[in-house]
Amino acid sequence: MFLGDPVFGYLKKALDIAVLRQDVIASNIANADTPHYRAKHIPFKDVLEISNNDLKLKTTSPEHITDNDNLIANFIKPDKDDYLTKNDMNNVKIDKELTDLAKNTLLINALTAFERYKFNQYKDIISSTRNA
Amino acid sequence: MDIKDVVLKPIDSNQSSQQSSKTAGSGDSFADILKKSLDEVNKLQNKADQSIKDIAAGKMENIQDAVMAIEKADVSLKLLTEIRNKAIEAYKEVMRMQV
Repeated sequence: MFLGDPVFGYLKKALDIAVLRQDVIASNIANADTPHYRAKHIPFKDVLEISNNDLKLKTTSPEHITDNDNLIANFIKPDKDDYLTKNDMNNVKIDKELTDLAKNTLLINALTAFERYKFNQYKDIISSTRNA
Repeated sequence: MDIKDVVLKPIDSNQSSQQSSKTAGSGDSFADILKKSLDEVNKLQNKADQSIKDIAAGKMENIQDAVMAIEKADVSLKLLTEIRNKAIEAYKEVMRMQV
């Protein structure tokens, strides 16, 4: 059955990640003025090792955590660059967050377009015998 | 432009049939061409899937290459199905012929 196509699997995973990233960025923007709030983010590049319809955290050393339960929330990491722009111990950089938001929106649009394209292809194949 | 002398040949002579088979390409039968184009379409599909995978995993920064690969795969698949439909149509037409 064509629904077993692995492309659907990893498109779904990637979209889950992207939607979660959208939430994380929204949380950062909402807390831009909250004292002692630390920014969180999900990295764009190489966050996934999608292999055979599976989603794994990228591990570069054996001491890294492995998500056996495939938990998607494990991708959220605290913001590394720790310079402060304000005096309230809040390290949200609002420009960076807005840039990431725009980038992530584009990514979500692209992934949904790809998904629509895959389904449309299958629909074309199914309905192409009608006018033969 | 040089004009060669025109020689009338009988239609079903051996020479003319050999010539026509030679001009039809490097000895490819219709089935060979069909098989080759099928492989081509399959390759394009795999390339498109791979580029979708790369975009999803964040490995690929330029989205334009992925879109290009996908559109190529899409058009080639549509062409393939259309050719398939035409072939079936031709077959049905032949079957309807009265002998």
